[in-house]
Amino acid sequence: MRKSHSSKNGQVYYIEFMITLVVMIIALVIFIRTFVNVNESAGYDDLSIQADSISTQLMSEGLPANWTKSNVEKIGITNSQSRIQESKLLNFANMSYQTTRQKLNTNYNYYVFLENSTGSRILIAGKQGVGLMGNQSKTVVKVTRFPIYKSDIVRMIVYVWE
Amino acid sequence: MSGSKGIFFSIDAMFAILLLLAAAFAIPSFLATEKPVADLHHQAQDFIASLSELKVYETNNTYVKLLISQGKITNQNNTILQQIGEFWAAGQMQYAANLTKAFSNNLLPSNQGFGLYINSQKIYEKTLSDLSTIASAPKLFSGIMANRSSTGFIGRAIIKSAKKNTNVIVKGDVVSSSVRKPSAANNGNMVNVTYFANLPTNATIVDAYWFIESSWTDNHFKAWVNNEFIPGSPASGSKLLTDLKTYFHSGRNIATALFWFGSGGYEGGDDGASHIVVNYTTNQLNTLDLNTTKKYLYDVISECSVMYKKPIFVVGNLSSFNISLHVIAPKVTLGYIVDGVFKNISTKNVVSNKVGWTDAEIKAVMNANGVQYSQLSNKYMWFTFELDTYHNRELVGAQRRIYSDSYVDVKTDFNLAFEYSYVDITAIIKPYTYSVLDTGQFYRNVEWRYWAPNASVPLLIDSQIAWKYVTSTNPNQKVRVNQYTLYSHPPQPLIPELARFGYGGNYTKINATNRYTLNFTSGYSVNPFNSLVSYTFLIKGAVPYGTTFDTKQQAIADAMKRLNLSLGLYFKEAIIGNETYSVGGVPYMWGPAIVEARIWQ
Repeated sequence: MRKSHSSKNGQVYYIEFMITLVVMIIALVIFIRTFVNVNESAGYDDLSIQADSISTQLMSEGLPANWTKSNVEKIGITNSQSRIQESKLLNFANMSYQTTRQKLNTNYNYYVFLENSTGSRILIAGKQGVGLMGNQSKTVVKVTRFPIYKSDIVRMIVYVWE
Repeated sequence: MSGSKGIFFSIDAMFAILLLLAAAFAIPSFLATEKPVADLHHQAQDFIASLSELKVYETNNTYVKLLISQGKITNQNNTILQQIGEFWAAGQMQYAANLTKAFSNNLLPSNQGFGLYINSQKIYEKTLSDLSTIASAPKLFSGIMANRSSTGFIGRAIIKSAKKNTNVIVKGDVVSSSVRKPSAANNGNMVNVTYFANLPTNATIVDAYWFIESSWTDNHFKAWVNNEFIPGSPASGSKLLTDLKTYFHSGRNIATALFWFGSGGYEGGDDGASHIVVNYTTNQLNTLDLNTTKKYLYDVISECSVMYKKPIFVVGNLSSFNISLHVIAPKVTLGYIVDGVFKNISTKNVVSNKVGWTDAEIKAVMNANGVQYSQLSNKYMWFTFELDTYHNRELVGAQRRIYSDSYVDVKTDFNLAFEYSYVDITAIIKPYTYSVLDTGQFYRNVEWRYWAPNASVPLLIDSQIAWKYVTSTNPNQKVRVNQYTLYSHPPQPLIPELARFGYGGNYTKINATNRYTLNFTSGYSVNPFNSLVSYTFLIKGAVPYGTTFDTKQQAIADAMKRLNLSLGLYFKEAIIGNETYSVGGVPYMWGPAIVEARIWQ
């Protein structure tokens, strides 16, 4: 009786293992195909320039210097001395995605988030990040910057894609 | 019981499937590739800027809290960078290193190296063995030494910011591609050339202009800066676009020119005389990148074969060339030009959009042609890149492109280590005299004059020349600096495209007027107004505390006088800060010193 019970459980584990294995192989194939294509896209240069431009603009104080959602011409979230200003960050997070793209002077898609030195995500207005998430683009450019947020130096990570 | 277990395991399996599917679709979307040089440069600048801004009292860093509790940090109003500097000035190197490590190690990815240096002295280094890219950000800083005091009034002065005359100069390379059918008609090709102008992130732009000169005088062209169309740009042949201040911004700028068929000229593109000049102010006093070994190409897009000529000024003694191209083309032919003489190196097929030449391949051909690397020190030579078999008249076909991450890596023994408080300046030199008119504004004799201030270190004279050569003639060419003749044809070969000429600082006389002259005979002439000559040098930007005076005003006057003597004329628009300290309990000041963050991977 005991032997029979063990044998039945063993069959369930085996089927489960096979399903998982198949799925992992499929996932791995998709992963590798996507990764290999990253550097081959013709849009890489343009994306790099855009990512650089967006991150530099975010690290600025914006225009006007004390901008609000109603008068913003260019979005920047710092005091121009690398220190993120909470009001600008919240305004940025609460603007529509299309408006932020316009004020960042880009036609590309982006996603920005902050994380502390241990890699934990810092919520912005209760959100994981600002911008468009979950894209399927094959070419994504990442830029990392180091602003001050509240009491420490943090990572600001900007992803840009077509 | 066993049946229930089976149900749970199946649900587990389904969860596993969902998670893996999510990973398969979500993770690749964020597989990112980085532009190493620009990104690392920003990171180094950010790191210095943030350490200069974050105060000791406000940080939650546990190592800082520990040092405060141990009494090692006494002034919580210091910035983190000032505190590192204070430890350095007091000889407490271990605390300086640990404090730097506390703010850098977790922040930077494990695949990046990092170093912090004060006056070139290593404070902390996280090393990696395989280095491919390095970026650095220097900054002038100073602070108050704990537990030290002085007597009397002493003064010091330091340049806080300066109007650096045309500090960013982007010089066009020679780019050409057919815009005409083998018959006389327009082939419809548009030759797109994109240039890059990198400014410090805290730059305030004062003025900007862009001179465009096309390959053929009848070419039409238009221009954009940072994707904004320049309304005055539709033109033919050449045009000076002025008042472009509002089109540029701090950081990386892109400028695109589009060339197409005019009235019969074969090729569209840049004749190598085009240039962008951005005049700006910044408190980042060291902005020179002479140590950058990789000379990047500009982005070129065309639907015909492309000829790209890249001028290379070899600073110091050459040790190696390595070339890496990222292109769209079936094959590329590499050649070089030394003293006006072209030689082919080899043709290679492009594989996965990449093609390159090693130093051994290049050196072997040069040596076989009688050119030794030692002949190339402190002068211009050219590499030529022919995408596909080049024809100056052809029908449009597949797109050919050179990406801007293509480069020539030039390794020399030159290493510019900024000495204590030296500031780099790049100044435009206007033509002083011109004579013997050829045609239009082209003259056979042109002279530029420049003054080398006292206490300065001359580095480089670089000239981009708007030239005109009457083919099939054999004019004399002579280039002189003061009493030295740097080039003379004959006996040296004729240089048909004298688009660049440069020389090192050793020909420049300090505290004197220097003369740079070009002289030609019939068949060759230059346009001094469309040529661009720049002088790059180092100048001391600070004076330390001097003699003790009875009053604060005397101490300031003394410091300002000493600094003005050092700065000379180039810094008349500089903002100069001064500080004085009086007797009794006034802390001893350390610095100013140069702190530099370097990041590599």
